[in-house]
Amino acid sequence: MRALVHRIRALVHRALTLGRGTALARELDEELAFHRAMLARDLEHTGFSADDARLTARRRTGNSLAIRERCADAWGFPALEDFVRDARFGIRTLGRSPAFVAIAVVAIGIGIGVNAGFFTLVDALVWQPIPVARPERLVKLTTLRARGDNGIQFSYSDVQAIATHARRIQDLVAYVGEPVGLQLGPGASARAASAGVISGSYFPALGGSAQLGMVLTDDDARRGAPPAIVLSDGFWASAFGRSRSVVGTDVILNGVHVAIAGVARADFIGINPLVPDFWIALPAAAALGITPGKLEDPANRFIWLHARLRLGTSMAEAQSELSAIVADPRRAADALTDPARIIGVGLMPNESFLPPTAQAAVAIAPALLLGALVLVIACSNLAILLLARSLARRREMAIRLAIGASRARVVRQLLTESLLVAITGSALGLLMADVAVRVLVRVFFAAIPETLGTVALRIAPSWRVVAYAIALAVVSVFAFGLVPALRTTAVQLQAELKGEDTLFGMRVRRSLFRDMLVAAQVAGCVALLSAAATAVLGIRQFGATDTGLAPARVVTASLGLTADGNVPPATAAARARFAERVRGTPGVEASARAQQPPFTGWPILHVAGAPGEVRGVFYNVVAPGYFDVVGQRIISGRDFTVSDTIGSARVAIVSESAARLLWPGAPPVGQTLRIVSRGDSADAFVRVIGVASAAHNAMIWDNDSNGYVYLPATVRDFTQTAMPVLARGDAGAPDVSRALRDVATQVAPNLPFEVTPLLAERRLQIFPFRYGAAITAAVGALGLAMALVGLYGIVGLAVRQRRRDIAVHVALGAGTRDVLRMVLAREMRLVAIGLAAGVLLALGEARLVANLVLPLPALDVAEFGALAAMLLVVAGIAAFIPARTALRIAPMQVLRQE
Amino acid sequence: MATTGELVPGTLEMLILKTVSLGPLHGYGIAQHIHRLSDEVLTVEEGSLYPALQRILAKGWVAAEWKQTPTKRRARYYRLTAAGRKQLGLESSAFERTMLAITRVLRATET
Repeated sequence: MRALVHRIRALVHRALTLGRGTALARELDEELAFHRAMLARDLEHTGFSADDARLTARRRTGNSLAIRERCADAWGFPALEDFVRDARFGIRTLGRSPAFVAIAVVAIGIGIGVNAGFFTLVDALVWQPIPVARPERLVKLTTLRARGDNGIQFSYSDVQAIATHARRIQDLVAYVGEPVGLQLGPGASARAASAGVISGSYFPALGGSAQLGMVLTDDDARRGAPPAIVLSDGFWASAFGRSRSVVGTDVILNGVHVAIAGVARADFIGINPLVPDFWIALPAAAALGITPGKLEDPANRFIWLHARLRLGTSMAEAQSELSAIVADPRRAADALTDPARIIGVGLMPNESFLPPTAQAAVAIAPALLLGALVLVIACSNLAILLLARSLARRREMAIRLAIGASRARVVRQLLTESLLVAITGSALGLLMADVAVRVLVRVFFAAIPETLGTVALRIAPSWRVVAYAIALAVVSVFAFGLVPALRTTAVQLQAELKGEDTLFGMRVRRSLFRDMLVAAQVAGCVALLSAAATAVLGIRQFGATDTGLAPARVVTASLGLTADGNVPPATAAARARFAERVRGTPGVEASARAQQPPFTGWPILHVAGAPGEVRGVFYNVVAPGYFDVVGQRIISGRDFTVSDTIGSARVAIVSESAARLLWPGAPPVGQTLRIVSRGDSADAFVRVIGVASAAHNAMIWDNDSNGYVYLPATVRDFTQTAMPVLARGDAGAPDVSRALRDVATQVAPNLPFEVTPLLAERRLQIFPFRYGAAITAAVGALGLAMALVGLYGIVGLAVRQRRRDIAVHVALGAGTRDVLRMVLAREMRLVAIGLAAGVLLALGEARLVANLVLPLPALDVAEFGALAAMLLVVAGIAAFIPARTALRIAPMQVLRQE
Repeated sequence: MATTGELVPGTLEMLILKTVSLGPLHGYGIAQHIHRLSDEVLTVEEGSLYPALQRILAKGWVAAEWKQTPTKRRARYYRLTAAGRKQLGLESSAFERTMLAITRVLRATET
């Protein structure tokens, strides 16, 4: 208690004296003057002459400056006042060398900017709460399937069961995004729009409100309720020009009039960062055929679920309750033998778009590593600059130390200067990062097809990003400013003031740090380049692999946007007519319908080679002629025929790889393929009639090592699924897309029509990786350029420092060659050490990157050799030029000058 | 000067407190008092005295006031506060205990 009172009193005293330094010093001076006068008077009494007494008194009281310094420790908050003084002094000093400041600020700015940029993205995905009301207890529901994988899709009956029985969660919200054909009025052309299909709880539970009209509620989500939609702000602006009279008017969805209930507020985004054009309730969407299949079918899973944990409920408790509800065998959604049946429900925190899990950390680690490497290089450049500057300032420091400043005090002063540079640099970095991230994200999301919705990822520099940047600045100052500061102040006063160089003794330690910087620059180069090259090469290889198809002139034409199982008969008939007409269109070489165009997300079928292990293979349902259109060969057996499809023949074609796995060593044609049933019905058995040549049909990142199975399209497939037309244009034909569009307009002017090159889908899949590679390459190039400049600077600096050394050698009779060899050998050795360290770093990186989705190749020997050669050349030139300059000067001149 | 004794570290503040407990005194007076009372064994250097005064001023053990000296000069007088008196009591009893202990140890080695 007493100690506390003391401490408070001392604090108050300091606060009162804060900023009164000069007044206090004046009082102290007066006090000391009085002291001196009294002493002199007393000395006079003991027999000194007046002059002697004054002199002795002055001598006895000593250095009043030093006394004042020591007294000042008791005044104000010395650390704070020192800092302010240091900062002021630092600004003045730095103002005298604008070139140094500019280079240092830009270097640090780039280093911190790259990191802050990555961190802004991480922050937006991992830490920024998703923009809904009360995101803290929000969880995402996942399914655990019998075969051990996870899904996120639930059936409507699951949703109803959870809504009715679950007690440990609340605010259950359902969402699924679907594309749909939309007409703004009768007779208007149909366009593709994105629909957010939701439960009635969606808007109330997530805090969404209307800026116009009303939002959807449970009333709209009842069966048989009149269908109504709520427009998103963006769609309201683009399609209706923000007309306030839209509420109550109709749009036409799949040919049905639907009333506009309202417009959501501009800031409402919801569970998914892709904002749809409009929201519609689940039963209404199902009635309009927007959602796939039958809503009542308990095995028809397509709905995403989110909920809030009730207060006081743990994740595990809620999980076990939900698992019991969804996997209840009495509900009998799936056969017990179905490997895809749901056996449990998992919960994932969903406070942000990407929960801060170990997986997320692994996914972002390489980017952060790259950023860290750039920062290290930037900082080591700063250290080099500081070191160069410290040479010029050694005399200044020696003087300060000589007049009584403590070394700690001077080091603090130097660090304050570095900190000023770093803080300015991080401000610049934050600015650059903000601009760069905004631009990059906009460019990236511009590539997303609009039927998926509009991206609403908030990219705003939060306090976390700023704190991260400042922390990086402070850490980099201490990591890279401290050693130069210690070096600068570790001077031998006498020698320094006399202008002598401290050649021996000190020099050894100084150059150790310098040597480490050279090696670090080289190691950084290697690690950076290997990370960047690995990513870039990986992606180049990624897009360039032969697919085994000939997709160049093939386009996919889709007429009407329907959900499987809910195709209006008129649309089905129009599609059949369209396919028929395309076949005879001039400029079309070949065409066929198929459920899945190549390079899209093919579904998985569980099959076995009649006795044998069950495997999941990608499958497609195709019409005769499909293989010819996409450029795949039938290497044995035959293609499907019309009688296979119309007659629903129990036949299949398998890919080479599937055939090898299912019937190893046996001819596949004529074998029986068991298709493992998903429902209650018995397994189906089909006969293999042909083998298709190897091709990568699935999405670019899909692992298709189990191969593919192709089934003939049945009448049901033709009428109840979209079955787009794949058409290959003539080599000489001008534009097959235009021809197809004309046909579509003639056949069904009211149905939305889309035609895209087959390769567009693949390009879209490659795009994120290409984009990432481009950014990685740019960051890598930036870092590499900085590292090379830094390497050049530090090597040159070191050689210039050794001028005296060189002069001594020359004076003692060493030839030009000997000196150059000596100087170069030393630098080359450091580069070699750096290369070795860099290789170790690069190997560590490769292990990190290996955890990612993509198998990436490591930097190969030739490329590494090229890099090593480049580094050696740069270091060689940097060492050679100043060494030669030193050799040109007469040795005596150098020795005298120093 | 060569004959003056070194102060045991940490005791200067206690000696100052003791000195001003006898009545308000300026810095020079404090130094003289300590010098005289110690039979000219202890000399307080100005370089130690004034920083020490500033320290105990900050701790609130003494209060300072500018006053006229009897010889009509302006001087800063230091006066013991209640907190300073308490501190002096604590320090001197702790010091006496330590001295006693040291003395005992020294005697033991003599016999």
